[in-house]
Amino acid sequence: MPTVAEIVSIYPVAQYLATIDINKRGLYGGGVDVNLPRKIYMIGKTVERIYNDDPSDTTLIPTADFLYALCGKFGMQAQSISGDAGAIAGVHSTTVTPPNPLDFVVSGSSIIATGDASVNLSSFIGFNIEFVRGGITQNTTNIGGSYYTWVKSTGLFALSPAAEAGELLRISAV
Amino acid sequence: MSLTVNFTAAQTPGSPGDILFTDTSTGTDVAVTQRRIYIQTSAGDYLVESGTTTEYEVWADYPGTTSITLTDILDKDYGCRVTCQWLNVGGTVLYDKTLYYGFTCYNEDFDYETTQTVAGNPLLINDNDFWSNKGNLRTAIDSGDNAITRNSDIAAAQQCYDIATNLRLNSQYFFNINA
Repeated sequence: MPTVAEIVSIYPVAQYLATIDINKRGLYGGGVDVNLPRKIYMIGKTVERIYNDDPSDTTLIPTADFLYALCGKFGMQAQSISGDAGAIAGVHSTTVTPPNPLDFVVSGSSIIATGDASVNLSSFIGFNIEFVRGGITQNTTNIGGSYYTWVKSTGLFALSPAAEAGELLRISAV
Repeated sequence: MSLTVNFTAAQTPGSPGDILFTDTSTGTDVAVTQRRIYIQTSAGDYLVESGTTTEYEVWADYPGTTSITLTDILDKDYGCRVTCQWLNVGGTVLYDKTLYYGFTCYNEDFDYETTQTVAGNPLLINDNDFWSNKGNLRTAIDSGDNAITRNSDIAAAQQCYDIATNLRLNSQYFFNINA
């Protein structure tokens, strides 16, 4: 019999395994209780809550064992599955307003401080940018002069050469 | 160093009427000496401990005391707007922070009781509407939680929690057990 900790970790897996199996069996779940995934969730949720508060709670032994019994063969299948957790994609709004441009003179306390060659612009993530340095639009291609790089997936902005005190910089999302 | 105020609220299974507040502020401000906690329900009422005559609970001894437990302050599950204020010795509010919380320990504890019941006697429970009502209870709690975590909507959350509370208080009809 698995431990309470193991049961708490496998019941969400057993839940989805049961859902898939019932769906594949067709009419009436092929004899499998069509509400089984829901039952696993309901019982698992309560057991997990108590476990998270106090793993040594003595009432967890019978309730977790019942949960494991409820999972049945899906619980055993779940025990054999291990892997890294994924993530459910969030909602991407199509009406995102771009952030306001950053327009500043380089100083010791500016967004890009004197001597800095890179900065993380998290509010610009997902946007393309336009970089103006000293009133001159900059390119990302390095032909030996001033240029910049931009990784829009991470927000990493880098400029070359490094910012000098008194320079007028402007970064706009486009 | 300036003070960045913050706090958390938590409940402990088995003590559904109590709320534990923890001050998680960072930084310092020597002017702050005390705190106040306002717990407002969706009906506009302020929840306070028995004997408290103000709309708030005093959380004194800042920064010495970082946590406070308000006892028997809840009589059922609530969606609440919780405001904590940080004040100077003269009672002037210097900082404040508002968070929205669902306090669901009553119904969560009851949900676990039903789990214990079905674990102890699965065949009996399978004979009635136990599972569908337990599903309704879980759905009501989860729905209320969603209303708060997604939209800070304590009014909608309260309606959901009250559905769950009704199932709990009338458990003899819905679950064949007593709350």
